[in-house]
Amino acid sequence: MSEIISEVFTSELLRYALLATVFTGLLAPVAGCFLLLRKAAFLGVALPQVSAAGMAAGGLVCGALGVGFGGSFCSHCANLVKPPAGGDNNGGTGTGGDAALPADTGFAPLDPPVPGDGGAVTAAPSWFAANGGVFVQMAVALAITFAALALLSQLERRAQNVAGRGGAGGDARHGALYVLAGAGAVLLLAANPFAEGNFANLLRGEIVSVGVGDLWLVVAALAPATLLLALFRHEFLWAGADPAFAAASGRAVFFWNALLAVLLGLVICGTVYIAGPLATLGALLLPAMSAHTLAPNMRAFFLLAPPLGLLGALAGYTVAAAADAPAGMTIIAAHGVILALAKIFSLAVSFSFAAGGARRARSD
Amino acid sequence: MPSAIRIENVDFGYPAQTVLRGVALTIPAGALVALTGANGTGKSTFIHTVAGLLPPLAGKISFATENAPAVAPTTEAAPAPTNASPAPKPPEPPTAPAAPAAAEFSATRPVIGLVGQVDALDAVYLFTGSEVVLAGARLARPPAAPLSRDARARAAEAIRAVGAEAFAARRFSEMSGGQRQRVLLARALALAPQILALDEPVSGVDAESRDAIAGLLAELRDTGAMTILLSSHDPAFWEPLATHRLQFEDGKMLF
Repeated sequence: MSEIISEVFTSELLRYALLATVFTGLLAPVAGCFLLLRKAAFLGVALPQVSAAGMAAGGLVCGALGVGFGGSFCSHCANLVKPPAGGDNNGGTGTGGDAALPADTGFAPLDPPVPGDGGAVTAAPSWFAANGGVFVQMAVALAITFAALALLSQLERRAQNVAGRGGAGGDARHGALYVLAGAGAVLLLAANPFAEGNFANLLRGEIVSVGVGDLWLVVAALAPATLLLALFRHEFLWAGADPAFAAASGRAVFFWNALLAVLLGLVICGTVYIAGPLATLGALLLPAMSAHTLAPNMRAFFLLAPPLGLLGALAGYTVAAAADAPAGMTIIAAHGVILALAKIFSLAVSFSFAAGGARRARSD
Repeated sequence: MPSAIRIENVDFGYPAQTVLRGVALTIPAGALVALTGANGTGKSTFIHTVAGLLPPLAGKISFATENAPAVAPTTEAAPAPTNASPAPKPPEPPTAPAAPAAAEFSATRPVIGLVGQVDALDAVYLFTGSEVVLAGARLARPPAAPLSRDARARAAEAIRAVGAEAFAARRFSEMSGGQRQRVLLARALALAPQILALDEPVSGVDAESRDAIAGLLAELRDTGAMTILLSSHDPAFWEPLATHRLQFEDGKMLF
């Protein structure tokens, strides 16, 4: 077991997965705090699914444009588009993508490469033609996510303006979005003749298939978005907690809510890209719920969520490596265990206070 | 400096429903104006429109600029209400000449401290009383600017002014209605507003908090530090405080 864990932490390829786990574990809970406070957990379920559908749509666009995904650059999408004529789908990086993963890492095995993957390159494609799929796919996913957010916002405003008409509530809209986006992702994948099994790894949350390109692209999206979320947290907080007070004191509530939606979209898209929709929801909400259970005030809530997210992510990643289990789902399970422990601790503290109060009352 | 408010032929309400039509008046700087009348007569709509939460359906609302001369506040308590405003001392009409000249008014809204209902904050927010009050000091500063020593001191002073020191460290959601209202008032004061707008501030509030709020409002009125709009349907509360009165009735405003 110790050799397995040691390999997970030292292997060149798995190091990207480890870094991705650290980044998403640490950064996604910040966005999750806002989803929890806005009571938008169902939106947190629907948006990752929309992002995943966007990824699938991005795969089709890449196929149409003939833009590839470099093997080690973006290994989990390596088979998503037709290899360029006379070349391979890895852009000649020579790593062989998923096939290069050591077989004895303890992680659930990934799908084998398509025939011809890693073959001889007769005419080297441009760097973008070979590797640009990452960017095209992310751009399409972001565009679709933002479009969904704009549509939801419009429907919400319309519902407020026709109060009393009795339309479907916000939860119903989010539920419908989830179902439609989920079906859309599957149908778009089915429509892509080159969408091989590796993309299913993304939907399952196989974070071990992350390549270096995925990692840096996601860091580029997640880090600034999370930084802005942290920097302007008071504006986002009060635009949601007491919009009337914020507006009267001179804050542009609509602007701050719109910026929050954009930043949440960025974080969710980035996390879905490397962890899949289900693992993204886990990384967003479960650490935030644990922090909410333990924190005595808002400051502690925001300070606790990222380290709890990191703890769950690293614990889950390590257990997945040792138990040969799917990483994304094991990380979610670890977050669940932490949440359960937080609830038990919180209950114990409540009982302790109640017992102390009763003792004082008796002694009086 | 407190800001005077000029309202020119304004219709108040919502796109589908006009609540008040053609209101025209000037509220002098430093006044404490009681907005009185039964529920649903437009007091909250008036406050929300002045505070910028609702757009006027017609007409214009403007505010005295920094350079406008201040109006000396009335320091005596109000006698029994009359249909004319101001309430306490005879009739300085709401369109009082003491208000700043037309050229010194601007549509730019000054900082307005809004004190809403005690259930304004959902329990999912884990704010302590101190965090709520600090929010006032934060929102008085540019976004993301760190809190200065002065701002923290202003928040601490606001907590002291409303008598909330004893419970400011507790969670807002665990406070009584009266304690919450005092914290919300302290938050508005920490904002250092030119206009303070209170919407039914003592509705459902215990006697101790009610007295604390009344005492503080009297103090603010006497210093003339800000213009105060006070919505209340409880004469026992607003009568001793108001310098002016606006009576809301059947879609009309009576002075």
